[in-house]
Amino acid sequence: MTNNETIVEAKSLSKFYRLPKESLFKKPEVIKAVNDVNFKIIKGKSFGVVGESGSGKSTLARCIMGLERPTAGEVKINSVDIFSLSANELRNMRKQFQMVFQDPFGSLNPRKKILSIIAEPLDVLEKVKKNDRRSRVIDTLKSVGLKETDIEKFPHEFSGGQRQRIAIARALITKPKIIVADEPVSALDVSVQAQVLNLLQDLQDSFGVTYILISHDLAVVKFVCDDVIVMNEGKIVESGSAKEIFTNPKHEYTKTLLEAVPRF
Amino acid sequence: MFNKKNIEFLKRAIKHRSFIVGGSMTLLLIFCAFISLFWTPWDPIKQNLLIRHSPPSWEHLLGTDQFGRDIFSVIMAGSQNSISVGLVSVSIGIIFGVSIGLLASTKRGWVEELIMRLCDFMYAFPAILLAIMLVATIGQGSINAMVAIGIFSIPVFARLTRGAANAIWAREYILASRSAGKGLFRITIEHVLPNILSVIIVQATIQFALAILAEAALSFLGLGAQPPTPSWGRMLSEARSMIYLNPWLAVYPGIAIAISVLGLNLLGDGLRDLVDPRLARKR
Repeated sequence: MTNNETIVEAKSLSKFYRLPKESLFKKPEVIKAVNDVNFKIIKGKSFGVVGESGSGKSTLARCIMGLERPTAGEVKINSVDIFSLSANELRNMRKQFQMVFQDPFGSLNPRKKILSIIAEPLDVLEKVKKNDRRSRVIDTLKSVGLKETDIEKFPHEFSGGQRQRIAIARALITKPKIIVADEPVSALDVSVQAQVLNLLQDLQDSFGVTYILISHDLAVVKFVCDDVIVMNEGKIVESGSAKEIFTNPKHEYTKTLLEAVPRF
Repeated sequence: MFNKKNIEFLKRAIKHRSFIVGGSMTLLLIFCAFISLFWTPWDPIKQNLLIRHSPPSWEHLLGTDQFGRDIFSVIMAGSQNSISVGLVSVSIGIIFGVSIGLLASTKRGWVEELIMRLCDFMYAFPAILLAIMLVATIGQGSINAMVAIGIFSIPVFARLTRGAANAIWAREYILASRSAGKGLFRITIEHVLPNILSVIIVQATIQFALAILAEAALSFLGLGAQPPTPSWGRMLSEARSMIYLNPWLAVYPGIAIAISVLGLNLLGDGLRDLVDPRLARKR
């Protein structure tokens, strides 16, 4: 094992969407949400994907998660192309990669208790006994800074930041190697953002997870990520270490993005 | 059972006028049907031609009909028929309608198109006409009427379910569940169905009322319950020839139908208000 082991690799990944036909005789329009994207992610580091809304970041995240089948190209996790796997094999792989979503109000089923929300990946991916299940949920809940008694509550009893912690706990429960976080803090207040980002970093230190952090907010990416790609209209316009990109942007688009950041 | 959320729900329910009024009327209907299973003041089937068309008295609260049967007892026994028609046809509608609606929203693509176009096709016929057509083909009788009414409520539930389920499928917790590795079937059962159940229940009460109305219409035409089974629709049709002699014969079953349909509709409206997430959920 070297320190620079690649854990996720995208090879000429493309995802096109066909819009509904506007006229019977015209060809339907195609949106190239992700267009020939290549990158490698190093184990244990944080990888940032930056771009405006509509630049294909979320589609990229869904492709990496195996939720959308790409039009072309492959996604390799631990050198296995996840789209060459059968449904069952892919399910077994899922233990290794989990996702945190943008909207903490929409990503938790309002009818379920916290216990069953957090245990959901566990129920599908691992066969655990009832006592084990409960204690693992409690452990994970504690590691994201929530209380043991919270497992009997419903999502509406929590604030946005707490809900996002619950979502992170759900992603952590199977002890994944990779967590894809799609705009994990953009729905939160600025003061809460910092708490959640700190939590993400602490968890990386203690569990050694690799993050793929998707954000339009450059400050967030700068704070968390080691390597960054900048996306525009489905293509990577610039990639490199976060330090490099933020201090010395080469591409025009990156420069405009950086200039657009409000300074206080 | 009695956590904070449910108690809050009950509190709002007690304050909701149409829910309470509709609920009481529906309970009255159910109570009537239940009691009539064991007891009615007089035998609703036995004829006594000596006391035909007697006016209301303490002995016969609503008087007697052209065969000397106690109208109050016939009305009570007729509620059984209405309730069983409602139950059976709504169950048929829910079982098939909800399943194909869920199938459409889970599979999407051409499956959804096919199912929805079939529903559109069924919608093109007026419901009662469809029921008459079906009963005319498969034969008259109570059971057939229930099935026919059930069949025409399938597309109602299918459309409703598909629409509500599509909205749930777009939620992020579904995506979270998929990335946890859950299959489409399990997601449907564990996440989609519980979240659309309230909408289905509301529709069920309204569909129940429609079924009672449709059954009355079918029986009125002689296609529903056959004599001597007591049925409100048939009471109406039997009263038709007596309308100048004894108009009250038509009024009583009419009132019974009106009360149960109104009650169920009010109950449905009340339930809809109560489960509406915009009012129910406080952020």
